[in-house]
Amino acid sequence: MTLYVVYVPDTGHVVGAVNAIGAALPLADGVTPIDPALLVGDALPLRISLEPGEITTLSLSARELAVHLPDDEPGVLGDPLAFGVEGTDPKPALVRLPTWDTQLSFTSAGLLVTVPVDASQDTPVLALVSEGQDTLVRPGTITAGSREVTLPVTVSAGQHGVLVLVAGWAGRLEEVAQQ
Amino acid sequence: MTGPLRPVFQEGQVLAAADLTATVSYARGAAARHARLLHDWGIADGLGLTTEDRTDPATNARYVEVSVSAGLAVDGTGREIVVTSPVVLSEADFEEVNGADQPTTSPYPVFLASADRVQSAAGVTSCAGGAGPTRVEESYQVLFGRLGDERLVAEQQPPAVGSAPADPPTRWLVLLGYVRWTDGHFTAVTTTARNVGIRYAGVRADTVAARSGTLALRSETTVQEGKPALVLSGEDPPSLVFGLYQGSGSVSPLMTVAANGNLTVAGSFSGRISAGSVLATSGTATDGTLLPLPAGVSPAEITDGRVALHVYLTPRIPPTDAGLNSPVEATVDSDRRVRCRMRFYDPAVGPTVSEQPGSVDFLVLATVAATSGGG
Repeated sequence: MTLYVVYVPDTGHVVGAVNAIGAALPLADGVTPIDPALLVGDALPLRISLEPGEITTLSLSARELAVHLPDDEPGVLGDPLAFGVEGTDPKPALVRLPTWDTQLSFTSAGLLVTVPVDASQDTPVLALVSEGQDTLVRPGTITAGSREVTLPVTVSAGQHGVLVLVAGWAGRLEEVAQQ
Repeated sequence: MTGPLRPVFQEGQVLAAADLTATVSYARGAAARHARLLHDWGIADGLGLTTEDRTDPATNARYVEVSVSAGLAVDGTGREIVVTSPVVLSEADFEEVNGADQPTTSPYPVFLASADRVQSAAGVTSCAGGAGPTRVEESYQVLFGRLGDERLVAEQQPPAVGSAPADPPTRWLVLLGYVRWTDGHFTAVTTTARNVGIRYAGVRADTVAARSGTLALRSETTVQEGKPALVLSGEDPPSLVFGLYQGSGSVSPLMTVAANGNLTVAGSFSGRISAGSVLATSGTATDGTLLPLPAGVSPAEITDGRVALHVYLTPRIPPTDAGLNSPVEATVDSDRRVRCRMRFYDPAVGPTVSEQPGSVDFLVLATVAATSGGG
């Protein structure tokens, strides 16, 4: 079996994984990067249930993704967002990320993201927010010494699908209400 | 046009010079037709452009002296061109043709063509006969072409099948290679330019038969280690072998076709899937990803219907210490994209259920249906 994980290079989060044998997929040669489109197409759809019978989709473009072939890690197939790809040379490592459950919320300024502890260094953040059929992509940074960032986004009232990726913390895919 | 005229002689016939010349011409014509019609014209042996490093004493500039090595070519008229010893190319001759050109790094073509040189009469001469030459040296000349003249090689038309041997000044150009020219000297040689390369002599045959029971085709005139060969062996058991020469001169097989039809390859095999075959891949994929195709199957083969896919999915139920996980959806769409969601319910917590993306175990089979035409 060969494990392929698709991740967001900006934050390291794994967003999809395929473990296969006998597949028409290239092997890592250390030189030519593997095209994420082979594993996700033009974009990876991340779906979340808002209400019974209603599913919204957050679309993550393949251009924003990369592929890594880690050593075997069965856990990544059950919960990809709980894993991150860290480091670059000589070989990135697949690591399990700490979970967090601090509430995500919309404020008048945008989407408020708060992690449990102050960041020791500037920490990249990427949020995808559903607005109707669209996906709003908002990058940001939790500055060193802080534990929160407000990502400027304006959404309509109601439930929205949100993917929040904070480097070093498990990714979260959930619904967030705008009052 | 009559056919070839073979001289015949009668007792008491007075042999004129024309009769003797006809004898020679008949043989020459037969040889030329053989060379022209049973072979492809080109260089048969040698005739490479070689270089010797030189330094211009006036400018201290480095250049090369270019020579044509000894060898043999057969031109498109069927005439042999023999170069008996190496010939140094003349810079003066080159300048006469191309000296007025602007400096360029483009290589100039060098040609070989036949030339006749009449030898002076020698030996006893008759009082009644003429004192004309009695020998003609079948010689050659090296010609420099202008940039692009190499295209003339392909435009040359061979003579008609029954034509007599074409003597100079009928000219047939045999490309020897190219020279680069810088500041009044040759500086390099090359064998190909502007997609025109040297042409070597060939053979026309619908049947090639071996006397020894083994027929070999190789890419070099001599056996060289590491070079490829194709060997058709009539030994017991017969075989067809493609491989590389070893140092011992034997061929190390890379592909063998045995007498019973068995094919053995040392490397991997790739190509179109044969009819009736089944290829498979299996594994696990998370929601939203594309199921991979089995190795050897291309998306185009799926799109155009040559290959059919059969997909089996089993949702992976995540282990849980409390509550229940159940699959809500475990499907794959027409793009081979996995759609899998899991619903979690813990009656100890309350009536709320939550849904999360899930993953599936998959088996993808690719099949090619047998057709009446095979495949």
